[in-house]
This record gives sequence, C-alpha cells and structure tokens, in this order.
Amino acid sequence: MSIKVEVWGDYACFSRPELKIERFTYDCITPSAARGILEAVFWHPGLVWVIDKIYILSPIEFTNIRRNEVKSKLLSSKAKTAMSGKNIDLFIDTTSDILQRAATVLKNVHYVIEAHFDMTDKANQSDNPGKFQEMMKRRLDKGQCYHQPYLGCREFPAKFRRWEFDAVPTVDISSDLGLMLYDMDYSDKNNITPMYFRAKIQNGVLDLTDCEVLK
Amino acid sequence: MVLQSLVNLYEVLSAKDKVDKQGWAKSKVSYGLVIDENGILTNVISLKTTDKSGKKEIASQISLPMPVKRAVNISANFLYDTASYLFGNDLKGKPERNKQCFEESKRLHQKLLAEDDSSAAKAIVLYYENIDIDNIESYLQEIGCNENVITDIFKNGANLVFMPLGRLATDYNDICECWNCHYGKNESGSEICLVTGKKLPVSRLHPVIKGVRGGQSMGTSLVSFDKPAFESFGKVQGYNSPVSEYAAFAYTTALNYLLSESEYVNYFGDTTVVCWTEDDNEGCQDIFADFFGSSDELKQKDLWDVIKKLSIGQSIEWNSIPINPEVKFYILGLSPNAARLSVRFFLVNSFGNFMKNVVEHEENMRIVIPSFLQRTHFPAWKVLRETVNQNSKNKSAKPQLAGSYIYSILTGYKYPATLYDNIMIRIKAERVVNAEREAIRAAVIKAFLIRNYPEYKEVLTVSINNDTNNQAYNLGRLFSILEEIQSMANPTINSTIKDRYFSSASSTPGAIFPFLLDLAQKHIKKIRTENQGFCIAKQKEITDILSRFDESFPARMTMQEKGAFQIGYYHQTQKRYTKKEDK
Repeated sequence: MSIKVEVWGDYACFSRPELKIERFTYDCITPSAARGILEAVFWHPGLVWVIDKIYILSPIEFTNIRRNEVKSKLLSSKAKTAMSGKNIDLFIDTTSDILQRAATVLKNVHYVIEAHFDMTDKANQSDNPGKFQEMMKRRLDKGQCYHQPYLGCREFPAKFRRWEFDAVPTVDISSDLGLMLYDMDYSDKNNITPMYFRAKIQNGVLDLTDCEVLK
Repeated sequence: MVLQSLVNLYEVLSAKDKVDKQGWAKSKVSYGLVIDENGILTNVISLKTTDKSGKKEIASQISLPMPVKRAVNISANFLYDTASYLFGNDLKGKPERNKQCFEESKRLHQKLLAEDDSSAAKAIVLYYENIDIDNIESYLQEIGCNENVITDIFKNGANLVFMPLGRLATDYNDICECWNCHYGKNESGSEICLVTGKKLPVSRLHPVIKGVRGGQSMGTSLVSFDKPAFESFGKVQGYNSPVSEYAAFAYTTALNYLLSESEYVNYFGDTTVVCWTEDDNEGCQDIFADFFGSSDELKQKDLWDVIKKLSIGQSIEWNSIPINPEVKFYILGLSPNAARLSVRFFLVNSFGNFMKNVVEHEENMRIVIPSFLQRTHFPAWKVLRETVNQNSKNKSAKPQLAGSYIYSILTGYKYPATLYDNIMIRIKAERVVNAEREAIRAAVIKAFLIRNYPEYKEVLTVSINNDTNNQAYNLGRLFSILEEIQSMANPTINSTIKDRYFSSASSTPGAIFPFLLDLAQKHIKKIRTENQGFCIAKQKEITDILSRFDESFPARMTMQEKGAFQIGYYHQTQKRYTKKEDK
C-alpha cells in the first residue's frame, strides 16, 4: 500500500557527500532525504519506509548563499570531564570558532514522494499494515509531525500535504545524474556506510523501484 | 556529477597523452644535482628556462613523482626536494628539524632504490652517505656555485632534482619503475567509490587544485574534511565521502590541466570558470573564451556569425576545428573560500543550447545606440563595471553578482536583482556619462525588465515604441520632450530640468509632471515667434503621449517602472539625436 506525499519549499540542499563542506546540492531530492520527511510525519519502530518514486514538479534552479558556521563539535569527553568536577569551558565560543561556508542550494522545489512501508520485527502484536496506513493518512491530513520536516538541511523547512490524485504533473526533464546517495547502511552501528545507486530522471520521475544499490 | 565528468575528461586527455599517468605530476625544479657513480656531488646546474616574455628566468616544469602533501609535517619527495631534505641544511636555523628532513629523505630513497642495481640508483643512495651537511655552503662554493645560485637554493627554497651521472633521474627507466611499484601499494581500506561505483581503496587526502584566482597559492582542495564540524558518523578525512585513489588522482589532474590553460580560463568576480567538451574539443573552449573575454572588434563579427549558426543547430568550423552543436559542453564555476573551493555552478548542456542562451541574452540586451558606437555587443566586464563607482577604491563588482550574472546568461534564467539595483543606484549617483556607458545602462535595464517581468516584453523594444500605453515608459518619453523644449528656449542654461527633476520625476511623477508641463508651456510661448514649426511638432507629441493616460499621473513608481521611465527617456533622446544626424 503506497502513499503519495506532496512536499514543497523555498530552498533545499541535498548535499553531495564529496562536496559537503562548501555544500553543492544534488539536482533533486535523495531517497534518504525523502525518507527523513516521511519519518518526521510518522515513524514507528515497527515500520521502515521505502521510497518508490520521486516526481519533480518544478524546474531545477540553483542559487548561492554563504553562511557563518562553527568549525568544532561539542565533545562528550569534555562534558564528562566537567561532570567529574574539573573547571573547563563547556561551550563553543562562536566568535573565535567561526567559519564561513558557501552553499549552492536549490530554489523553489516541489516534489511528490511515492513510498510504501515494510513491517519490521519490532512491531507489536496489535500492529498491522492497515493500522499504520490509516495513522499516516490521518497525520498527513491533520498536518501532524514529530518535528518540522526539512529539505536536506534543517534550515530549509518543508511543507507537506497528501497527494490524492493518481496523475502527477511533472516537468519534462530527463537526465542522468550519475551516482547518487541512496541511503546510509545502519546494519552495523559501529561502521555506518553509504549506499549509492545510478539515478536517472525520465520525464521528471526518478524511479527507485528495483534499482541496483551499490554498497 | 562534477567529479564524474572530470574523471571522464581525464580519460580522454590521458588517451591523448596531455596529462601525466597516475603517480606523476609536473613540478617546478630550478637546479639539478649532478652526482658521479660514487655518490659525490660534482656540480649544480641550472634547469631554469625563460618565461613567455623572455625577460625573467623561471623554474622548468618537469614530469616528476607525485609530490607529497605536506604543511608542517615532515614528508620527503622522491628524486627531488628542497635544500632541507637533500642537503640537511637550509641555512635558516632549526638544525634539528633539517636533520630529520634529511634522514627522512635518505630513508625514502634507500627503501625505494634498494632493489635497483643500476649505477644511477646506487649513485643516489651513496649520495646520502657522502654529503657533508654541516659544511654544505663551502662545499657548494668549492664545486663552483656562484652566490646567486646559493641564495636561490637556500633563501628561496628552490627545488633540486637528482641528476646521477649527468642525466635527470627520471630519464632512467628502472628508477621510474621503482617509483611506480611503490606508488601502486597503499594501505587504505576499500569502499564503494562514489565516482566510479566500484569497490576500491579510498583516498584519504585528495591532491590540491592550483590556479583558482583568490585561493591559497599552495593550492586549494575541492574535497577536504579538516575540521571536526565537517565529519559525520565518526569518519575521518577522506572516509567521509569515499572517493577512490584513482578517481581522486584523475579528477584533480584533469581540473589542474584545465586551470593551467590560461587562454581558456575566465574570471568573473571571485568565480573562476573553466569549460570543456566531452571529447576535449578546443574549438568550443576558444569560442567561449572569445565571447566572454576578448574585446577584439574584428573577431567579434566572425564570432557572432558562428554563435548564431551554432544556436540554430548548424555545425561549423572555427580555426579549422569542426564543431558539432550537439556535443556535450560542461561549464564549472569555482570560487575560493580560504583553503577550500566552492562549486559556484556546474552547467551541462549541448554547446548549441548554450549558444542559444547566449543569443537570447544578446537579443534582450539589444538597444538602439548612437551611430558612432561601433558595436552592440557589450562584454560582461563592461556591464559589471557599470555596477560599481569608478571613483571608489575597490573598483570590482560584487563577487556574488558577477557569478550570478554569468550563470543567468548561460542558463537563460532570470537576471540577478542586484544587477538591476546597482545600475539604478549608479544612474542616480552619476547622471551624466558618456554615450557608450549610457547605452550599456539602458541595455541592462531593458534586458532585465524583459526577462524578469514579462509584462514589459511588448513595451520595451529595441528602438522607440510609439504605440504603447505603458505609463512609466511614456512618462520617460515625455520628460525627454520637455527637456528638448527647455534647451530650445534657453540654450545657455546651466542646470536643465534633467539635473534638477530627473530623480523626483521618476519616483513621484504625480507631483512633478504638472509643474514641468506648465514650465514647458512657458518655454513654448517664448519660442513661438521664432520657430513655430518646432512648437507645433512638440505640442503634437505631448498631446499624443498625454492622451494615453487615463485621469492622472501615477503618484509613485516602483523600481521596475523607474527602469521603464529610464528606457523611455533614452529612446526618445536617441530619436532626437538620430534625426539631427539624418539632417
């Protein structure tokens, strides 16, 4: 049982892993970002979302922005040291830690995500696909979400709505995007590795059913 | 896509033998150390060549083993290095560090040349045993080096290459093989390479890119993860985005090659733009560079014919290189950010399509110009110059603007709003400019309004539009006519209505124009007796324009309407001058 969710926003940045610092976005939403949006709306340990198709409804436009960010992370070891009583600085001083990063982002994005979910072994006795499907539909119609869904980066919020129609008016784009990030492989918690697939957009549709995933 | 396309280009270039094989790179060396078969340094000869102007002596670029990436760490290069590594002494102090460098260099050469029995290889190994580090300066003077050479080696950190038995170390095949064997081995883990899709050893650090204007002279990195904030999932450095050693080498070599061909690299603001075709067709690069770079008059006409033909899908020949408009053309805009590079834009399309966008841009910009100006094509740098105050210290356009402007030309997307805003600011600040600059300003306003605001498409034509009812445009025309009447009535006046009322007429026409029309009537009364024909003609024109307004003048005008006002004024003024020339 698949569901179609319409997603749109002013800006989006699906950063390429290799150009992650001075961000350069993929031409369209990645399956992992799409999964993130769906999980923001509805997630349960008993289900896992699988993206089937991505429909592109607006032309692909880029723009550049520069942002000031920090260059270090807060370390848990520091927090532990502070807990043990030592008098150390447990903060990031943004004025000294500042770093400017450029980003090439997408403008005025508009997608329809077609996805279905598979049950996992963590589902309870009472959970069944029908129940989850109904919950998802209700949440979409009410606009409920656990956190604001975002388009690649949290600074770019996504608006969402259920797409009720069968046909999707996509833009007429056909291109080969080369290798795109499919998702991360979380099977081994200590070594999370990326998975890639060959992305081809045909008439504005990125088809992910039965695609070959390299890992 | 960026890396993938560059790797493909590398393969094409490698097949044509234009780039080095993996493990080798062109590096600068100044002097050769001639060693005899016992490892004694007998001579230091200069390997410098003269540069393009023929005046200065610069270091030669020779194909040498790939340089190691070093900042403050100690890491020796094979067969060539600076004085610290080869002499163990750079006469600048820090003897401890120099000794370590020397030991490292010695260790590397001993290890790599261990298997090689040739006299050249042995000579190099013996060199490290025999060289006297502490008295190096006097030794060099003994063997005949003059003061300049010694200064160059020690003070300027020039690169020195081994020349065992009088020939370059790289001329000996067995020594080269030692390097190739060593370079092939690596200890990094294998993961799926995101460029090739195959499971290959991952490159921990990518080679640097040299040649991007504004970047560090040591080189910048396109892919680098040097700060903790950049790392994810606990991965370090290159493992954050697994790119295989081969792909890393291939894309950086291809990009460095493109950046080294200075005739084909274009600079717009802070963006360095390189371009290439799938099959490395230099004709396309030539056309691109000529269009955006040169201002050669004669070439422009031929260039323009060629561009027009390509835009409609015709194959042509440029400098006897055949060009097919279907060929895939890549344009990459890079801008530096400290030690890193940001991809400003990456465009992929057929060459013909790019030319089509260029032609469309030129059509948008086309406007009537005085006949003494020879051509209508305004190159990008002239347009961008109009956005800046030429009297200020920093005469360059906003870097972001330059990149966006070029992007909009090449893709056909909307022009950047800042382009228009800056031109309007400059117009308000500097009213009187020469004819060419006025034409450029008018052309930019027209192009911007036509493309970004489709309602102006019908209104703003190349030359004057007598039939439109667009209020802003007609007000501009009206202003020009009123100015003409005033100058006819008071030929010797110093400050005309243009000086005093132009800004306010274009911002708040409702308040100003009634006054100006009144003033015009007084002027007409003054000249009625001498030149009745002129008065009647002008009255007719005024009546025609006023009849296109409904009840009143607009109280205020938006930025876009101000632009249309400017164009109307410009067109009417051009018409006035053309008539005079025809007479």
